[in-house]
Amino acid sequence: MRKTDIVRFAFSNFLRRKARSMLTVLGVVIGTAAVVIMLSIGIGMNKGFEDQISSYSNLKQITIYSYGGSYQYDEDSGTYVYTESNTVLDNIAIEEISEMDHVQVVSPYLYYWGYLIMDNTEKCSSMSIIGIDAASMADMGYEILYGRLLDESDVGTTNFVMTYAMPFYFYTMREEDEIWWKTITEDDELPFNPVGSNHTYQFTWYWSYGESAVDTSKPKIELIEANCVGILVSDGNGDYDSSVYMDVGGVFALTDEFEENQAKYYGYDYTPEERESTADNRQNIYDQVIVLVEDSKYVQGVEAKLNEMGYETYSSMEYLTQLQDQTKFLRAILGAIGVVAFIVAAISIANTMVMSIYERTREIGIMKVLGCKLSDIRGMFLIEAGIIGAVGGVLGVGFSYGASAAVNYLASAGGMSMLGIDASTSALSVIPPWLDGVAVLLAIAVGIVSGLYPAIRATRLSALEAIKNE
Amino acid sequence: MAQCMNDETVILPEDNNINTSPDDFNFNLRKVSSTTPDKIAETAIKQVQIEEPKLDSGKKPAIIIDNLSKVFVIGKEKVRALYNVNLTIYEDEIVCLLGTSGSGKSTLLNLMAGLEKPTKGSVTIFGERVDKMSERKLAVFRQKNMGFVFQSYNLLPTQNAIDNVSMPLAFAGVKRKVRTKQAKEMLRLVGLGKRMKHKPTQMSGGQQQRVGIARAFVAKPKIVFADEPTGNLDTRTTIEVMEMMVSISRENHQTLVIVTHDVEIAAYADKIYHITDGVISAVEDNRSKQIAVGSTEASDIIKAAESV
Repeated sequence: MRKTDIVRFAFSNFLRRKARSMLTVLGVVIGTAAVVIMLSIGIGMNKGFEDQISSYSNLKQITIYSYGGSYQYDEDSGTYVYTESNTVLDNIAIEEISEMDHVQVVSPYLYYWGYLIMDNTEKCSSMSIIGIDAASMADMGYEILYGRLLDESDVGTTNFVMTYAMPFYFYTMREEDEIWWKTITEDDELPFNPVGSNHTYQFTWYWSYGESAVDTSKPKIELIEANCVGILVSDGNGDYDSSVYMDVGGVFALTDEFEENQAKYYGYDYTPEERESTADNRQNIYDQVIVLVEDSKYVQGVEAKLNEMGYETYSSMEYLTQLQDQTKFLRAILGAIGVVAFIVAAISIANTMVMSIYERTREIGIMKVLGCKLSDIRGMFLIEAGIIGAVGGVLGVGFSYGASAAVNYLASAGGMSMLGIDASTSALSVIPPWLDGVAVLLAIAVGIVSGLYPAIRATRLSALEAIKNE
Repeated sequence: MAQCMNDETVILPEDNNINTSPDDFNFNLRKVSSTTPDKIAETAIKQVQIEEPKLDSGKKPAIIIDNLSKVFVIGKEKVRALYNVNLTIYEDEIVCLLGTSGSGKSTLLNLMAGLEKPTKGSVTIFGERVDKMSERKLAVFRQKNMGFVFQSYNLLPTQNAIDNVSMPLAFAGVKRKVRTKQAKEMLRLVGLGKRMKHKPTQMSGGQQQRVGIARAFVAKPKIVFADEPTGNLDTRTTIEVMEMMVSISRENHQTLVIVTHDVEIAAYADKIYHITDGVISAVEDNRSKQIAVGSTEASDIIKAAESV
């Protein structure tokens, strides 16, 4: 028998008993939908964690801390031994790390502090000066609102990019109150565009510059001029970050001048900081090193390697994985509920097929007598069961989308939150495209497996019994 | 116990009363042929050995049955349905297995078609041992060599006439277009040109049986088995159906094996095997007094039946 004819026979049998076929299909629809919805909630949960964490950090990022060393238990001597860990963060380390697989960007990272004066009158009360590799800023995922990000041309200069919140912190010296804390809401408009030649900027180390009378008997407090080349986009509702980004070279130049001036002002000796690190004599130079990998899926692998190399690391991905591991059990229970529904559907398919064999005993007998091969008869029943599975699977997936949308709507309208995930910002139920295919294939497989017993039974029917004259 | 046979006959019961066991096999016999002077041998108790009429000169054997026995076990009892049956059916022959219900004639047909396995003996069709074939092999063998006509038609109720007729072709892997064309031709041949799209429930018994005949012959099998093909039909339709089967199988040189209890049907056969209590009680060369297709004899039978 031709394959197309076997399918045709199976189809006509499926359509013949419409009511019963539909009821069986309904069972599969419910089974499939149960699995898909349950899994989608688990997936939504993971996605929610991911959204939540990636909203304030980069999931592709690993941060390496400079960290002196640690005491470790030595089994031989029975004592704790101090081991100097390989945590010297210098250019040699950066070189080494950037040669690792899947590592995309490696940038030094350091914090400094200072005050920024704009147009000689406006002052920002306090800010972080963050040193990075200017050439890597674009690769590190920063997004610019006005102006430009730092690039190769800024290496070694004091050119800087400010965060979106920075302009909100400026106040007029001696006239206005200092702004210590400002949380930006969606309604707040940027007070001014800080980029361009119409503003001048100067850095200072002195905390009360401009406000209180500067002791004129003391050496002059130096102001270091710098250019603002850009302002970053806001990192969302609740942004309060007042920082400027500068090339590490610029930060070193700035801090050297600050510290020299500071020493002069307070009258103590100043020795410039050594920042030489050679293979023979390595020195810690950076506070942190930022490592960006090609994809978040590589984070754990790269992180493990870094740890092996002795680096102390942190990644949001690690935190996310921990969170997701904690909910594994919950997700397993959800999945199990779906599987139970699927098993019920499978039994219902098997039942339908067995019933239909009883009904079709005579017909199967006739087919056998007329020379229909056993394998063809078996094929017909398996395909019919597969059709039930496929139709149920497709409808079930369709139904799941509706149900998923309803769940998400109700959860967000009801202001629900689950395990710290806010339903109004993250969907409770997420159906990834792969789940559609998997669910349909699973439904077909369940159909065929449940059709197996009835199909074999059909081939074992005695043709003679079946066609006996009544 | 002795067979009442003279030296030049095969036997046919004079009336339809063949409901007798070989033990009292002594009813009147009608002399049907004087050209078969073969001896009758009694070999054992309850075993009847009958020399077949030589009406097969030059023809090849289609079905050879050798020493065939079939015992059914029902509960603790053994029921003997067939006992040491020997017969040879030749190509192009129209053969009738005549017997009452329970005589074993249907069992014999089922064994020939491979629907049942014999307890003893062999069934050889075109040189192949049907009794030894696996189900898989049998299916293909049936596709190629056998057609079936049933008493209760056994059409698929959900399929129309065309699909029913083309079914054996579908099982043999013939393309839909081709088999539909052949099925239509066949339906026209049996006079159902206007009812091709009808389902069995929309047709009379005679029409359904004609669909059954079309189905049996559509794949041009070398052998067609008909099990009480007219059992559910009135006399007029019976004659129609019989003439149809006979003429188609003659035209295509097919072997036709008809199982019946009806002597009028048997009259169409070349050779009649009388089966009584599981043994062949007589073989009859019927060619000389055969009803020809379309003969007046047939219309006489119809008239007689309808005048009652």
